[in-house]
Amino acid sequence: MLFRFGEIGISVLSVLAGIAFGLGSRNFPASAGGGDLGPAFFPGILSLILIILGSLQCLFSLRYNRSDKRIPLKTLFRVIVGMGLCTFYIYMIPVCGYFYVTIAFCPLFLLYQGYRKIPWIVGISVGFVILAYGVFYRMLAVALPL
Amino acid sequence: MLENLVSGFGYAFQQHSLAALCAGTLIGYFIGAMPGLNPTLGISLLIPFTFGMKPIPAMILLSSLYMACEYGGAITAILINTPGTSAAAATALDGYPLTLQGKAGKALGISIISSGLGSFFSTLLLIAFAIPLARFALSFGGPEYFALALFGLSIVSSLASDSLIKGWSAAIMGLLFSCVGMDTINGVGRYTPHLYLLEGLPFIAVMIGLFAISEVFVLLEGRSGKGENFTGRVDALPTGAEMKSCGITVVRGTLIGFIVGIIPAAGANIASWVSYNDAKRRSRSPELFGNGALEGIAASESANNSAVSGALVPLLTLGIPGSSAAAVLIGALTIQGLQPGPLLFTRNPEIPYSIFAAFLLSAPLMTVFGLTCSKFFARVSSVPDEILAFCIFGVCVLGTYAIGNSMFHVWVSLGFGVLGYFMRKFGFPTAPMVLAIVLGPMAETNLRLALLMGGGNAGIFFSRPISLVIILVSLASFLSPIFKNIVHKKLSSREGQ
Amino acid sequence: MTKFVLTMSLAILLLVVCTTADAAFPEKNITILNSSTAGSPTDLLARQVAHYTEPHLKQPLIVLNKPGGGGGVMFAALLAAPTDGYTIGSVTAAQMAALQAQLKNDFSFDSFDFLCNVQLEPYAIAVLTDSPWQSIGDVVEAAKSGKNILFGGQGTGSSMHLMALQLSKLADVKFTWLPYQGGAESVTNLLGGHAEIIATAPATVMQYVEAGQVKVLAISGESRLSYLPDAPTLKELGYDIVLTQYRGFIAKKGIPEEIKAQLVDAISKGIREPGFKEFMAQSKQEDGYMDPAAFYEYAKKDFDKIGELMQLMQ
Repeated sequence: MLFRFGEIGISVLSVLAGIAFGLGSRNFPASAGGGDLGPAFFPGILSLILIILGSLQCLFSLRYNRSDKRIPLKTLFRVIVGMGLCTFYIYMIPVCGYFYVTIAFCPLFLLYQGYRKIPWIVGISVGFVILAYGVFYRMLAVALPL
Repeated sequence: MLENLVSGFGYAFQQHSLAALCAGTLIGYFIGAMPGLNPTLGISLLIPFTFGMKPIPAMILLSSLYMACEYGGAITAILINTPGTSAAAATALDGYPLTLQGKAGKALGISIISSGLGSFFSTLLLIAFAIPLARFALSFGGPEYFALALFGLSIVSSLASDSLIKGWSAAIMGLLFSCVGMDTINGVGRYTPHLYLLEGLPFIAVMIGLFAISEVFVLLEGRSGKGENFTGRVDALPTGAEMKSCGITVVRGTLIGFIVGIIPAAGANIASWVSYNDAKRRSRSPELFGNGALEGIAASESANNSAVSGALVPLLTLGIPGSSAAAVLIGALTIQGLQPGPLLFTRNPEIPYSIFAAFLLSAPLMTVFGLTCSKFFARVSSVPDEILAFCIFGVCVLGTYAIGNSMFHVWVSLGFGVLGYFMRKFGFPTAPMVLAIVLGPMAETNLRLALLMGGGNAGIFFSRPISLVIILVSLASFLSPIFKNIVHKKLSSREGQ
Repeated sequence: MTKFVLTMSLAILLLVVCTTADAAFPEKNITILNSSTAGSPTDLLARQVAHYTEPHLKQPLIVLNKPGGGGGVMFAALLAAPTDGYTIGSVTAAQMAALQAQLKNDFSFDSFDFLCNVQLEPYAIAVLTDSPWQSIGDVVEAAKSGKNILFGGQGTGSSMHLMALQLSKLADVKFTWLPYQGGAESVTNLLGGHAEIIATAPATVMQYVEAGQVKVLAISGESRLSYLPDAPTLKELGYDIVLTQYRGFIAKKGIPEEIKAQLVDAISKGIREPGFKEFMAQSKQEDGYMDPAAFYEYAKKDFDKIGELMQLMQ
């Protein structure tokens, strides 16, 4: 996939974001008077600037050819699946409890990346959970979801 | 003053105080390194322990913790691109590239030495100038804070000098994100479909997402071979020549950090960015910044440690916190039965002076301890990517959860991690977005406060000297990289012909 | 055979249920939810109360900070916990007032059970000692002569803001309200001259009054404060404004009466300890202990009054 497509994609997203924030700001109440600009001023101006910048970037990306690097789709796909794994992990933490989910996630995550040294996998999983328990749960008294 | 200082040392050398000094420093070092844990949280976690302690050891414990956090923040910033404290974000910009180049030891070494020097010299400034500078802390009102925020934002031009449109898009996007939450002037919720968002997007979670979690996704790409390009030992410490080249940067960083730290509500993170920007502009090779310039680390670290001393100026002289961590220190003082305020120096001089003595003692202590640890920590960069990815992600989840004991922060972090990954892949820098989210509220709230103060008249920004000066400097800071770019392009195209 | 097993299990189950039901409260940690971050005044109060109440309950009291959502995150957590008395919340008047404003659609005043109150503090109106205004009367006169008075204080729609609005309505003048983020910011701006007059908690300005830099023009309580004998109440000056900040403890509605009584008893014992009294004196707080019924009455009155004052904002 061309680098340019990604640039254009993000610029378009930023234009859309600008529009979204801008439209959202139209519902804000008016200023309370006395010289105050009101809650809609800042987001309004920023949305405008963002739309302009986003469009400019889009145009530049379309015109100039200096950004013709290629990014292998396979790698991107790998990362996106990885993101999904991470999302699932975070989703499960309050469901099954932090320690159980983490000790299950660790080997999954390592194996997914292609790491094959089993003793290390076991070691890291157990070690990390023990550290999390000792430092965060006991010492710092952070109430992890159980 | 000198007798007070001598007696301060006397107090500091007592058994309990020394123990408190060491404990505070070690704990602070660790808390600073952990992402999601910041000095404010660290101090408040330790306050219950101070219930049974005498005032001097208690205050020494907490203030050395505060100072040590800013040493520790750089460790994770450099090694895994996860700033342990928000003030170490600028350190990560050059620290992490150095780690990727196999020079983690040098990066860590410079960060420790700069922190130590910054801490030591800023304490001297604190002792000498605390009382006269107290008035300076008060001179900042609505217009001045807006000007300061503007100056901070103008740094984006310099941070994104090779892709201005992308950098500014990221910054504006960050400013829009900072509008989420309750409007402080009107009290209405903006962009808050859910009440969790009423206080805005949690800044630390956003920063960890954009820096660290995006890094985890980068590591998922599975590009190995990181270890093969390393020349020399990973844990080699910086050479004398390298340290000397950062010397003047450290001096400037200390000064900048101290002054910015004095300003209430402007703390170590703003100080480190301003110092970083200053170092980049003055450097003979600014293109190295962002790719592994030791001066960048020196600038950021000396400033963030020096800002701790700065934050203590208004605290000890007027009872006004110069940063959120200092605000918690006020609580600690109250528990000890002391009253922070204009009378602290006259009623209980032993408190400020033993804190000064403690800082002066802890600086060399931390430096030696840190350098020894650096050799060990630097080896982390040889850890296989897969394990690193898991550990960073795991620690980030723990850290962001610890912020508010809620999964909300973790989700925010993840979301920004995804955003950050795609931004980085396609050339959009993430640092401007972080800077904007920090400064956005300060800019908008103070702009509107200033206009309320001036009755709707914008002249108030220009009739007040401090505000006027800072605005002019911001304009220069905003425009100069743009001009440099244009001039550079014209020159190179002329050469090409 | 199956019938035997079933009956035995039922019996055991019943036994277990009965024993746990009769088990003495408290058996494990009690959590105090606090909606401000660690180190803030309300957080410190909660920690002090926890510290001195522990010996009376024989179990640790742990303060858990649940900041965010304008107090809403703490309320949500409190309402999500069971009504077994192991989770209570620290609350201030300002948080309850938020139920009339930004949290109106999320929570209701009646979802909470009031345990007891610990602190009561009126608000103070203060200026610099060398200010041209030495009394509220001076301020009103200046406002009438057309001067743009910069009146600062914490928040918009907060009790301090509402107090200033009420004063301006009763005196028939206008102020420009400068909302700040907290007491410290308000005082800083006053000292720096960016705000000419502020509304704040008296405890925040006491050290400056003692140092001779700040003067309190009036307070909003029923009667004068013992440590500010020269500051008249707004009532004395002829303005019918009585607004006080309370800090106490609440639980989710439905907490069993005996457990509630136990908690209240322990807290009231804890705050009578000399150590806690010293803390109150140091932070310039007056004892505002109220038992559950009195606290509920007081809070309800305050809540309704805030609702009325909110109309002033429109």
